[in-house]
Amino acid sequence: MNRQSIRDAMIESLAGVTECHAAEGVHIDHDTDGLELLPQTVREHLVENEALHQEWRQLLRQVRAISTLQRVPAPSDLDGRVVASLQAGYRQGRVTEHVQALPSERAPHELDLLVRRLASQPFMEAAADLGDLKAPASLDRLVAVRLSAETSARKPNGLPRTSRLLAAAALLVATSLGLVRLLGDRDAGIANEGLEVALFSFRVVRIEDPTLADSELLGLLGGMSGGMLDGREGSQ
Amino acid sequence: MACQESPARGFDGAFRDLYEQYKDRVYNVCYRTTGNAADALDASQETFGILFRKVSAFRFESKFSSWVYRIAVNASIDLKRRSAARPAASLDRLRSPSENGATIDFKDEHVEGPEAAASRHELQAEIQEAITRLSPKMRAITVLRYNESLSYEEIAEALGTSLGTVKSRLSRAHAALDRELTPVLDRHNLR
Repeated sequence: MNRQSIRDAMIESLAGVTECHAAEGVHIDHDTDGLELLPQTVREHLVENEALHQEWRQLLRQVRAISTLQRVPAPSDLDGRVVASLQAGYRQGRVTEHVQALPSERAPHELDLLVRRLASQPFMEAAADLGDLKAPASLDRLVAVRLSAETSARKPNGLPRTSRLLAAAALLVATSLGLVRLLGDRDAGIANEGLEVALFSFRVVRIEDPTLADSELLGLLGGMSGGMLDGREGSQ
Repeated sequence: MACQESPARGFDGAFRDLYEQYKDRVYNVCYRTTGNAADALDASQETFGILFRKVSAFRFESKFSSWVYRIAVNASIDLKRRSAARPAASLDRLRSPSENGATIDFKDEHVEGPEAAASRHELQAEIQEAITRLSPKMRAITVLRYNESLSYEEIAEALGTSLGTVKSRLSRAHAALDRELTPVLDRHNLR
């Protein structure tokens, strides 16, 4: 046996410490050097080699210390949080089904004109000019339903879902602004790349087929969304 | 398991059974991996959220408990990764579980006296801090092996890795523990 295989065998034998701990409670006899936990062949090496024996004592000491950490029981708060998250997840699933059942919205023709106009303006002016179009009523209704259904549910980070939705809406606006800039630089031709853009009061960016979309555009969306919209998870 | 159809009716049946069976194990792994009660609560909630969403897709190609551990470990590591990007946490988050709001049942406290109990509380908090200073993967493997008493095979399943990787990672974890834990044990005169 070489030194590494002896060390591996010693570490594997440390499982005996936790088994003893489980059987004996917190009082473990720390006075023994636990050689009985080791296979005979390893024990023989340790008897002959003090450095190895010392290494074993150190390993044993570590595991005995860690084994004194008792299992921390789940606090009662967890029950309520899991129930809330389960029910929120169920509602979210229903909303998702509802969204998936909606017919696809085509971008209105005047959008093309708006995009071209905005693309030729400086960024800040473009940002100020984005309130021209209203979202279709169906989208407004959908978001209203979603917000009212999920106001009380909280995610692990403690933020209300409404805050997270607002953040997502801000992200979409930012993405659309970036898109306007990019389209301005690229001068259109987007339809052939599988891209549809709808600029409403909510900014909807839909890529029907990421494989057909421009890689520079996907990179932009991915960067702005922290990877959420970069096409790795299929069509967004 | 018909878990997907009835959550709106409450938290009964298969969901409740699953939750009751795993909640302490999940919370403990999350607590030991994140190092504090607040993050452990978040990670546990996330774990059960994922578990209930995906349980119908579980194919029993591995042990169910390994799958649960895997979700819990990943949720804890992801949470720590995200919180690492936020401003530094308060030192209070590194206190012992009891100070953090979690409770620990020290069965022999009444016989060892308040000073000894306080000293043990302190020691356990320092041991936990030493574990928390390990890298997330080393922390996870240490917790699964020595707190949850999983075999190498179970750990490999839970972490989605090979037996060889489990062995080498555990060996590296011990080397790191030697640096982090030895000064603590020396200070408390523990052999």
